[in-house]
Amino acid sequence: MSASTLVLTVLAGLSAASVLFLVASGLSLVFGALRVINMAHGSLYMVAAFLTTAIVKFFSQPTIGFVLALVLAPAAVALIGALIEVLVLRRLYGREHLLQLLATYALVLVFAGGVRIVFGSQNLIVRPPEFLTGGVSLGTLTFPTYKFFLMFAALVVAAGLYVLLYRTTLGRNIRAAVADPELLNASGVNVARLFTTVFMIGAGLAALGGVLISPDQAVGLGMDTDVLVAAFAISVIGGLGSLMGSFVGALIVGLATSFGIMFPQTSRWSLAFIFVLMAVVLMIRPWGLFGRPETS
Amino acid sequence: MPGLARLRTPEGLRWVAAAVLVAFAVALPPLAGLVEIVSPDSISANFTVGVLGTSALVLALWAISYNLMLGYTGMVSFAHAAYYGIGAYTVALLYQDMHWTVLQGLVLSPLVAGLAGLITGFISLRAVRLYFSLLTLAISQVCYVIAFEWYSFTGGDNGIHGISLPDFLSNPTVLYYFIAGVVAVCLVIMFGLVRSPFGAALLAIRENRLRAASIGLNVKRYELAVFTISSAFAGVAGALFAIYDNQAFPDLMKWTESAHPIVVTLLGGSGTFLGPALGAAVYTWLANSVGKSLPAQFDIVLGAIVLGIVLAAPGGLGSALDGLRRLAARRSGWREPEKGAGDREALGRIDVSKILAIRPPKPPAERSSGATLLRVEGLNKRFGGLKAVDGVSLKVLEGRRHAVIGPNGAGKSTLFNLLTGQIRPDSGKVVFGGIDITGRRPHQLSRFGIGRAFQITNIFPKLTVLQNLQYSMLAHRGDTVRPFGIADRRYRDEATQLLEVVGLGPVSSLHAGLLSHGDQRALELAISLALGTRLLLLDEPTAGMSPYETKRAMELVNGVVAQQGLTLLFCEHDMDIVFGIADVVTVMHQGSVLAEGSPEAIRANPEVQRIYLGDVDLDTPQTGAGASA
Amino acid sequence: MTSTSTRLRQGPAPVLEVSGLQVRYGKSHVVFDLGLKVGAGEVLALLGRNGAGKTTTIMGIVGLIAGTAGSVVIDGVEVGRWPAFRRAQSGIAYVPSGARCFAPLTVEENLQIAARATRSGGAPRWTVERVYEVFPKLQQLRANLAGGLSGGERQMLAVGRGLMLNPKVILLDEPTEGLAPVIVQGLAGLIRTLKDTGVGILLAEQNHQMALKVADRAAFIEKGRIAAELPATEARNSEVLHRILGV
Repeated sequence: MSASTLVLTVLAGLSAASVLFLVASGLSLVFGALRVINMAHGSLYMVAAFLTTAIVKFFSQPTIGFVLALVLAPAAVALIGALIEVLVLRRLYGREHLLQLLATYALVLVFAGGVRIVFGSQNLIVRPPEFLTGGVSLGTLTFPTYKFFLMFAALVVAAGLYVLLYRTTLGRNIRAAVADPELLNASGVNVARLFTTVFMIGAGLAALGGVLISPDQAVGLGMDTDVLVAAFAISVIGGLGSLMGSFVGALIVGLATSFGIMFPQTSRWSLAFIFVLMAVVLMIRPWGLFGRPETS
Repeated sequence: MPGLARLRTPEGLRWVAAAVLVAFAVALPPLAGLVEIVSPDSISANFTVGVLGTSALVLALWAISYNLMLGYTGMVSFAHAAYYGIGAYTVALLYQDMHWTVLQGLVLSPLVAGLAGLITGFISLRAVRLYFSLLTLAISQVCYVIAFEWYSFTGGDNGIHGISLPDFLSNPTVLYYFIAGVVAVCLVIMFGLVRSPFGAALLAIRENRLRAASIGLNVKRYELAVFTISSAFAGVAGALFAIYDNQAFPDLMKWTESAHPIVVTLLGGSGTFLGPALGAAVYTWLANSVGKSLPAQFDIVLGAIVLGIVLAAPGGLGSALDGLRRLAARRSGWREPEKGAGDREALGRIDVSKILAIRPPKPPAERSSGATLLRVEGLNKRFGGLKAVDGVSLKVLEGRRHAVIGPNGAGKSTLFNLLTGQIRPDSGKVVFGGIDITGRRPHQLSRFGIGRAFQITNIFPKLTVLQNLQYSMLAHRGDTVRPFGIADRRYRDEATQLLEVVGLGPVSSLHAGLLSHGDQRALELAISLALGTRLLLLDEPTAGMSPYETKRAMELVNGVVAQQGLTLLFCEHDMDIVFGIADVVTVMHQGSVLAEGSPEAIRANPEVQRIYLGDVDLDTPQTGAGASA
Repeated sequence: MTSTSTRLRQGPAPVLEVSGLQVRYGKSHVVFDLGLKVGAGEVLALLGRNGAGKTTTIMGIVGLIAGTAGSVVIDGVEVGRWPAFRRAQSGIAYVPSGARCFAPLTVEENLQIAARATRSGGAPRWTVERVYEVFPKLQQLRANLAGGLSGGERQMLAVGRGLMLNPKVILLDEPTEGLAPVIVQGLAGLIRTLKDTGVGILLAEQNHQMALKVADRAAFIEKGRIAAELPATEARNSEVLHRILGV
């Protein structure tokens, strides 16, 4: 294995990890604050990707279209998220996890059907904006510019999330809600409205991932469940409810997948490795590397 | 009750509904043929029978096997598709590589799938609740990836095709009846299982894991058993799939496929045995009518239905139908058993003389032998930096009523948890009736004769009052390992008598969750009696009761304990209770024993008065704000 | 009982008036038809043994228990149907037992979190700076995580957070539990200071000696009901006290 292959593999892993981080951090945030597993999280990702194809197609100029999609799609999906939280989830807080899983799974079906009706069942492709096409040469090899952009975007979002959580009032309230929602209620904060806001942020993150992935991979049905199971694995390994956990978990999963693809002998088992790791973590340290055990 | 009248109860109507479903399944091929003759342009009989009928049957088997875990034991698994797939692959691989017939593969499929279930179930049960579910998800993905990637063995993502059937199965109708036969055999076995004492144990576990352990069930072992059995039958379902669809492929094992049995069970209701079968029929029909022509709309419709059910009626169609059944039954004269007869009435019905009739009182000499029943020596338990129980020693004599009191944080609850095996001590010894029981787990302790009533009432809410007692007896006497026999028939008389003793006779067929608080306490007491408890541990037994309930409840306990020569160890805050009942009082303070003696001696003890009435003495006047730590 | 009610009618206007409070936890009916009043600048000690219903009563008043019925009036406004956060905003501060704080947040963040509550005119606002004036130790610890503080420090923080709501009435649930005598002294002093600002205080305590030193009146709660109500001076060493709290 040459040095250049190694570098390529690592870079590919990092760029894969970038989008996974966005999706997983949203799932993890929602679980940390609301204690709900949202099966429809991957669906929101998929809806955003399809919306992107529509927006880009409408403007026929990929640059403007893509930039607009970056703003509009997450906003639209966040609104959908608000509706979901208010109409569906609010009735299910505090009840058995199974009901929450089933209700959000029902939404997976609805979204899958809806996307199919509006967009058909073919795979769609989005061209990246002009200034992000092509590659960057690093010595003897070239690596796609867009994939660097993905890494850049993930870092920006990670920094933004950090600032949100640790430097804003909203973030402080979110962290307080993760720790003790009842006390937060008694301290004068409208926790119900906070939950809606958190869910919208989670949905927005998933949507952002969907927008960013569309120029990189084909957009099609089945994206929802594929990304969801990866997000589960990441959240479990890193720790549900932990931002750092999503970051590290995404790195692990992204790199593992990338190394698996590059090296044919192990490719078959790289995917299995991720789930074996997930299983091991659940057995010995269920709250993940960076998570905290549930107190109630 | 005369035969026909019995049919009008909800229970009876349920049997009628089941018979209708079975009759429909049996009559499907001739019915389909009729439809084809009558309107030849609509659906072809071969299609109805060969595709719809067979897939509905197999789906029903798969869903009912899943319901063993979900509806009967309360476990949510995402791995069920894996065992289905394993069953299908067993048939396929044996056919392809070893040239076995599909029938031979079919026979082997439950063994292979069951073995897989045993191993993966053992792993999955290392985790609990949500994490258990996520672990099953991880495992099913591992299976899927193996099937997908191991090209040389499983044929990779192509799968294995072209499995041919023996000649006699080439006719769709014969194939249908064959599959129906296999499914029927499996259902009969599973039905026998859920009605047996083993099934009773599963229900107890679903209703209240904690309580189930305290009546003597090793919960994890039962969960593993049902997981394995469930997987075995899922394997049969998968094998049947391979037979009628002639193929096996990795997508069968994808985690999203596990949604099928869950949705189907939800549709039909997880509360009845055949509920999932009804769901399977409805689902198959929907999938092949709406689903074939408008697949996207089908997803939306299905999603909307599932959402509607979850939000409005989590019991599924089954519970909605149950409601209709009740309505129908009431119309023809059947009456609902008296609900909530009121706590006053139940407790008021206590008749200590009835106790004498069933269990004659022990002669006074035998009642308090004075022998040491429970001996605690130097028990220690630390939580992080806090010493919750600090070198506690005490002796409880047989036949005595022994109270443990102490201010908040004295360590009473921790002590009780140590005695009942809920937590393990760091050091020290607990000896019961001469046997060292230190560190033993709760389900082992009930066999020795230690019964505990919890601070928060702990019964099996969706089982009837009678079942609460019967199943407790089954568990305690070790009968629950038997997978045959009918649980509801056993110990019926003995249980009914005990219910009379505690005044719960009239409500014996009511769901225990509907009882008033005081009645639930009485039921707990009955369960303790049923378990042959020698030492009854009560942790704040009157918490949350009105003064009337409190008085009556303690009269009940007092009466039963006195007449039976039971030994009572309880902790309480209500001093009236303590001094009204106890022979001996132990006072705890900050984890250790402060004093012990007769109630009068304790009352007169200035140290004890101090810890309750005067802990911190502040004599110096304050100078204002600014606390310094 | 009649003389007490007369005295109440002549006393300060109540900032908190509770009547007919019924609280259920699932199947358990814990509080039965409970009523009490706290006037501005008055300290009412709520005394009772464990399991008598002190914490449940307080949580019911604050709005944290779903199965609660009855009337709760804060400064003339009926809040019995309001969600907990709205009650907090309208002037009722809950300082839970166990010095509960937001462990992963810093001391300063714990204080700020309650600061958004609005206050309708009158007495001086509590700000973070004012809280630090009262609790200098907290200022030293302002950047520390609340989870790492000692019991006494956390109790101060919990009270400070309650003050940040600029409340009309403060409900303190067993604030002295597990604290060293010297800190308890400080708490007593603090309560006296707060009294002087016109805030009403409901003090639920097992440590009746401390409570009666700072209280104006005492209400004894037994099995979910108020069994007796006396001026604090009469309550000390009274027969009532011995009967209800003693052994």
